[in-house]
Amino acid sequence: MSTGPDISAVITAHTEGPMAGLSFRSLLDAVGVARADGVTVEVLVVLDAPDPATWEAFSEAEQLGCRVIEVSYGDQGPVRNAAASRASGRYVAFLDADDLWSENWLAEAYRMCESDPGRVIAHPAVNWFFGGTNYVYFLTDQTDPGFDPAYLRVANYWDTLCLAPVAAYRDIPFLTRDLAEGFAYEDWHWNMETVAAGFIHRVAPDTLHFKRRRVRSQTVEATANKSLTRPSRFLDYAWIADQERGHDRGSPLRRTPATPTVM
Amino acid sequence: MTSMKRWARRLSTRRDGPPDPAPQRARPHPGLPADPRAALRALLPADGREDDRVDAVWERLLLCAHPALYAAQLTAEERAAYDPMLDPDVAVAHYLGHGARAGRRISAVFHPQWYADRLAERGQSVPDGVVPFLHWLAVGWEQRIVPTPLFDEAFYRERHPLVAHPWPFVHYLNRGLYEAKWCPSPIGRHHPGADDAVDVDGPDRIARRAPLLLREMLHRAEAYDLARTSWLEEGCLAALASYARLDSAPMRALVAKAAAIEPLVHTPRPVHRKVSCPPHRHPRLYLTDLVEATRHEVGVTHVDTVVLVPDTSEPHPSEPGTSGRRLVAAIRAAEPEGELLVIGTDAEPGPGGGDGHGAPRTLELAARTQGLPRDQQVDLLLDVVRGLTPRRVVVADSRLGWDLVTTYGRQLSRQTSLGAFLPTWDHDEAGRRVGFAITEFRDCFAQLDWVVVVDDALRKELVDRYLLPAVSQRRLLLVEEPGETDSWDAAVAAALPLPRRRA
Repeated sequence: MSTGPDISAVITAHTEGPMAGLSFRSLLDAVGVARADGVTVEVLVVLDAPDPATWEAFSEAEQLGCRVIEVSYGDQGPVRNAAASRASGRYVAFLDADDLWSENWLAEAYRMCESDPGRVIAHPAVNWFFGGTNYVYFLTDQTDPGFDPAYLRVANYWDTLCLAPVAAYRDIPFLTRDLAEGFAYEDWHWNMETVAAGFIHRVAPDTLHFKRRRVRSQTVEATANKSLTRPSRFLDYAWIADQERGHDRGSPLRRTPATPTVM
Repeated sequence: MTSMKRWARRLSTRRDGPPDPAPQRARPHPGLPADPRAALRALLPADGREDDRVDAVWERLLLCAHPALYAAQLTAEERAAYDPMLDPDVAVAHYLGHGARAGRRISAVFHPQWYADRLAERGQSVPDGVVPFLHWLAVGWEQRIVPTPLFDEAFYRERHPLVAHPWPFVHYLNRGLYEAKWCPSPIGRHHPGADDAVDVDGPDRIARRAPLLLREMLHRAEAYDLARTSWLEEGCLAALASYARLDSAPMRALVAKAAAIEPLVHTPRPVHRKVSCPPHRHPRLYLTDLVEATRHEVGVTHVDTVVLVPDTSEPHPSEPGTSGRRLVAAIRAAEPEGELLVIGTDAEPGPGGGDGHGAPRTLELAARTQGLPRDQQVDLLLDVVRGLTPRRVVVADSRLGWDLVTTYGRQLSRQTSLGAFLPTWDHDEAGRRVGFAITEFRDCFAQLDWVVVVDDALRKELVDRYLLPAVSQRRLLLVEEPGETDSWDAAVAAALPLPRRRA
C-alpha cells in the first residue's frame, strides 16, 4: 500500500514574477483546508525556466515545506508531465502561477475523486475569469445528462487545472505544443484521451478557480494559428463505432437525454 | 412570393398600417379555421373578447409565434398536410384550431411553468379552461410579466441602456431575438441572430421578420416535451440556478477570501457577470448535431481515399466536372480494392441524383452546411476526414476542399496524403488569372503530394509564375489528353505512388 500523500498540489511558474506569490498563497490556503479535513498533501513548485523575479518569488518555498523542481521546457505539457512523474501523491492538482483556487478546492475535489477512486477527474464548478474580462464559466459534469461526447469532438469542455489520479497523467501524458505544425490544445486532447480511457470528469460542487485574463493566452494563440488537437482515437469513426457496438451501457460515448443538473 | 416572404410582408404591414384583416392565405387548408381571428376570440376568456382586446392579442400572437417550434410538435401526418415552416400563417391557424387546446406550444418565448411561477409570485394563476399562452397575451402582457427564462429584464436594461422602450421585452421580441448584438440575459444569446432566421433581403429587412430556425431550442428535441420545455430552456434554467448559487453565502465567502488575496478578482465590475455554460449554449452546438448525423450517414468507419468534388451529379460531357469523374475512375482503376468515398461539398446534386462520379459511396455535405458559418463547414468536413482516417484525400475542384487544405493542410498532411486536381483558373473581367484557385494553389502546394492538371499551358504557367524547381515540377502532373481514359489512368498511376512529403 502506498505511503505517499493523498494529493500532490503542484504550482507551475515561468515568468509571473511577484504575482506568483498571490497564487502560491491561495494554494497554501487550500492545502491548509484540505489538511484540516484529514487529507495529506505535498506541495511541489515547478519552475519552468523562471525569470529572476519568479525564481525570487519562490525562494523561500522549501522553508515552507515545499519541494522545488526546476525544468526548462517552455511548454506547459512537458512541465506537467515532469511534475506528475515526480509527484508522490495518489492524486495531482495543478495551478498556474497567475490563477487562484477557492480555499475549499482541494478538499472538495478530493472528496469527489474518492467517490470512485482511480476513475474520477475533478474539476471546479466555476471558472471565474477576472482582469480584462468578467464572466463565469460553469463546467460540465460528465455524468450530467447534458454531457455530449460528440461535442467534445468539436469543442473542449475542460481545462487542465483539475485534480486527477496520478495514473491519468502518467499513462496519458500531455503532448507537446507545436504551433509551427499547427498542433496545440493539449488540454483538449488530454480530455479526449482520458474520456476514451474510461476516466470520468466530474465537477466538485461549490468550488471555484479564479482565472486571470491573459492578453496573449495560449488558447488565443492557438486559435489565431488555426491549430488542431493532435490525432486521437476519440475522433476515429472506427473507435467510436466499436464503443457503440460493444459497450452500449458503459461506454464513455453514451448520451443520456434528460434534465441537466445544477453545479 | 414565397410563403415566408408573405409572412414577413404581413408582419411589416402590420407595423405600419391598421390592424390586419383576417389573414389572406393563398389557398384554403382543410381542417383549419376559416377565420383564425374568430378562433382566437373564442379561445379568450369571456370578459376579454372585445374587438380592441382581440386585436391587441392578435398582434402579440403574430409577434410571438415561432413556426419552427410548433412544427416540431406536429405528427408526421400533420406536417405532411400543412408544414407550418413552409407557410407560417398555417402555424397560427393550426394552433388556434387545434394546438392551443391540445396543449402545444407555438412561442419560443413562452415557458408555461416559468409563467405559472411568475403569476404565483403575484398571487395569481391561469383560470381553468384558459390556454396559458393566450392568458399571457391577454393578461400577463398587460402586467409586463416576462414568461421565459431566456430573457432577463434587468440585465437587458443594464447591457443595452439606450433601449428606449418602456418594456424592454417588447424590444427583444421585435429586434433582440433576431440581431446578434442584443444579449438577453447573463446566460447569453440563445439564437445566433440573423444567421438563425430565414434570410429576407432588402432595406426594410429589419422590419420584415422571417421565422427563426431555433436550432438550439430544437437540439435533441426527441428527448423533451416541447410543449413544456426544451434543451435550451432546461440548460438555461440550470445555468440560472448555478448563477444564483454564486450569490449564496458560502460562495460569496469563497469569492471574498480570494479577493482578499487578489482584489482584481472583482474586476471589471459590472452588475451582472456573463455566463458561459457549454454545451447548452455554444456556437458549436449545431455543429455537434451535424458531425454526428454525418457520421451516421457515411455508414462506414474507414475508407482509403476521399475525393472532394463540388457536387456529385452526373456532369454534362462538356463540363469540367467530367474530369472529376475521370479522376475518380482512374483512382479506382489504380486501386480496385480500395474503399473510395466521393463527397459533394459545394452544391446539392441535380435532378439526376448524386452518383454521377461512378463511386460506390457518395456523401452530400452541401445541403447540410447551408447557413453554417464557413469555419464550421470546414470543421464538419475535417471531422469526416479525421474520422475516416483515409490514406489519401484528393481535392477535385471543391471550394470547401481547398478551404480545408488551406486551413488544416499542415496538420492533415501529417496523417494522410493530400492531392489535388486543378482544372483551370477563373479569370476576372479583364482576363487576368486572379480568381479561384490561384490563391488556394499557392497556399496549399507545400502540403500537396501531387497536383493533376489537364492543360499544358496551365502547367507551364504555374511553373513560370512560381519558379517551381524541378523537384516541385515532379509533383505537377499533366493529363496529356483529358478526353482519354488511358491518359487519366497514366497520370493517376504516376501520382499515387509519389512519396508522402511529410513524415
